[in-house]
Amino acid sequence: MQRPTRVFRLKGLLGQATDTYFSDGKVVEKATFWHVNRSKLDAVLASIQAAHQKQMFHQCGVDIQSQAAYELAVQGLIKPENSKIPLLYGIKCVHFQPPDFTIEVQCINEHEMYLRTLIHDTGIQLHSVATCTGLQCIRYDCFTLEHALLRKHWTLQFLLDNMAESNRLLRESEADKRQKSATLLESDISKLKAPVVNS
Amino acid sequence: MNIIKQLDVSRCQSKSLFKRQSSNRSANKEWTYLQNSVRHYVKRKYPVNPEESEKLPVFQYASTSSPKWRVYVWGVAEHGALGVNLQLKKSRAPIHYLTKPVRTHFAEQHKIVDVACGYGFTALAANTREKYKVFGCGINTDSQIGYHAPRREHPLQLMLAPAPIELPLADIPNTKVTSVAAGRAHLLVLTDREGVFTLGNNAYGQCGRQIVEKEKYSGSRIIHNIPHLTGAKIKSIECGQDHSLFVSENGEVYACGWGADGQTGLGHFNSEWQPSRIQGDIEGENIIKVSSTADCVLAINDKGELFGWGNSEYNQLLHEEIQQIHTPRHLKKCQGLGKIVDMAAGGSFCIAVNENGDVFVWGYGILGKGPIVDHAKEPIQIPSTLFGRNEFQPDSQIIAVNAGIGHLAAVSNHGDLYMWGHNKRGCLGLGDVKDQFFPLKVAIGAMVKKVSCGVDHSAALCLPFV
Repeated sequence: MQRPTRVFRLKGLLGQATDTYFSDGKVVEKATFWHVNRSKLDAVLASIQAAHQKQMFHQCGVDIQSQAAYELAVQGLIKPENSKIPLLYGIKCVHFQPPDFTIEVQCINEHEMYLRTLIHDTGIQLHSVATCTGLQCIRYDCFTLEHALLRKHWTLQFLLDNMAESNRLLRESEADKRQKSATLLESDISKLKAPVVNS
Repeated sequence: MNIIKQLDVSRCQSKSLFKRQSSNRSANKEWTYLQNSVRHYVKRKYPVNPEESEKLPVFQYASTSSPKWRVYVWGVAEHGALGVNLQLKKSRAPIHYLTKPVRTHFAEQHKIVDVACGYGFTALAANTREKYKVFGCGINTDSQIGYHAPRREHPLQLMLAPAPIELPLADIPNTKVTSVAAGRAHLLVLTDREGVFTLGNNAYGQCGRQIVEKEKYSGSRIIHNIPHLTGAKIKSIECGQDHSLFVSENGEVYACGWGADGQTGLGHFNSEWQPSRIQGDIEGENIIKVSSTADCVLAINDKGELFGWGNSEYNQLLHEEIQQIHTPRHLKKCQGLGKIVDMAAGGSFCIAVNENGDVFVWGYGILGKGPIVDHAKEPIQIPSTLFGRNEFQPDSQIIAVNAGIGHLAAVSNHGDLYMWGHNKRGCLGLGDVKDQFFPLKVAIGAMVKKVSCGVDHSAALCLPFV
């Protein structure tokens, strides 16, 4: 059973590296970042994105020399066969104000440490260091921030309404069909690409 | 006050180096990022003191100094074409082949402007005011990479490291070498003001000079110069297997060398030593580029129309009846493909890319459309999803293509390199020796600008990200 795709917004801070890869850890290294600009960051992220999309072909679960692998590859975006292998479908920088930057990541099978390591490694690639200052999941399958309940809404009535809404969403978006398919269907991709307004 | 310290290696750098080594030792085939990452929790005896971070020195990582251009090589290393087998001590086994791209140290010491892969040798052109502007490594049985004799009268037949080629330049400090082209056993060097220098085998006149019967090419010091083509400056050069092509400033193409398959395009099947103007369908056209690896030649004009001549046994020139075409003909079946911006003629197939970045292949062999499709009588398109064009990268398109004898390469606008075809001992650079039936991106940590495909090795000229 495949887990669905998620979209995260990762906030990073250039110039510092911590031992937990998060800003609450002990700072182990500081480096200059005056040379880092938006175009360099975009180039590095584009290369990471292309590298992940190439790994996608290797993780499809069929022999890469077979016709089945070719037919799967032509369809575009494939889900990894093993649900433990993280894969990034899209990465782009949405905000850049040195030392702060924010990247939006569309991924599958990821975990928190993986995303923090992504920020750290992006810093290394840019010949500087970076640490993660914030991780926000802005989309989980068909659910976005709009469907999330705020702390003040954690009461019975709101919960019941939300459950009905979620069921309706899952039914309408054909979550079952999407979960069982080996590739990302059009409905998946359009959801991943749709901009999420920060509430 | 924070001090900027120039340490040898920063803490983060050393940690990532250690990670890489340990992953190699464990020989973990699966792509498990989890195992190489930092532990999930941190044991702390005392809480984090924010004042300690103020006292840390600020490290400055090494910036990319000039020369900026990098050269990555991969494929068979036994014949020395990669220039990686440098220290052959008894304890260290020589490298047989490299399945993944490796950055050459040579490009760090010289400003490389062009790289060309021939049949078992590589030529690198450097931008310098010194005497030696072209360097070659690999097979030197026909002196295709110059005369090298550390011991007098005993010229070397194999160069394991890039060796300087002495060109008889008239104006050493100011003449610049703009490009190099390599064939089976000959090399062409194009300069900006002194024309073309040719060296190597001349058994068919491919060096542009008189064929001397029973000439000994091994240990030969003859380097021929072609200053201009009937007055016109030479704009670009290309080498096929045993023939040479020159494109002049005014869009004319000249050829010399072996012509048994019509690859000289001069209207006959004989060898021709003097570079002669090619007529036929390209007469009057402004040709901007020619491409040839074996014995089929393709040319494009400024309007993006394709012309071809040479061997067409595998239907590379899209003509059903004739198999050897000695006069250029316009490839009408390629008219519907849009304006062609780049093309390459491989051993038994051809590839072209139009201005939208769509890639078309035809011919015989591993074309890139899966294991079943092995021949195409008309140009067929390789789906652009295989070149990274999907919803997350809608603007990804191919801008340049190159072909070797059995493999193909494509460069995208983001600097990604895609390779497919017969994987002759790692010449695809994908990490294994299995044939690749559809385009796959090669992992190079830089933006690829130019790729050159030889028979069993390849090289790429790249720019760093930062």
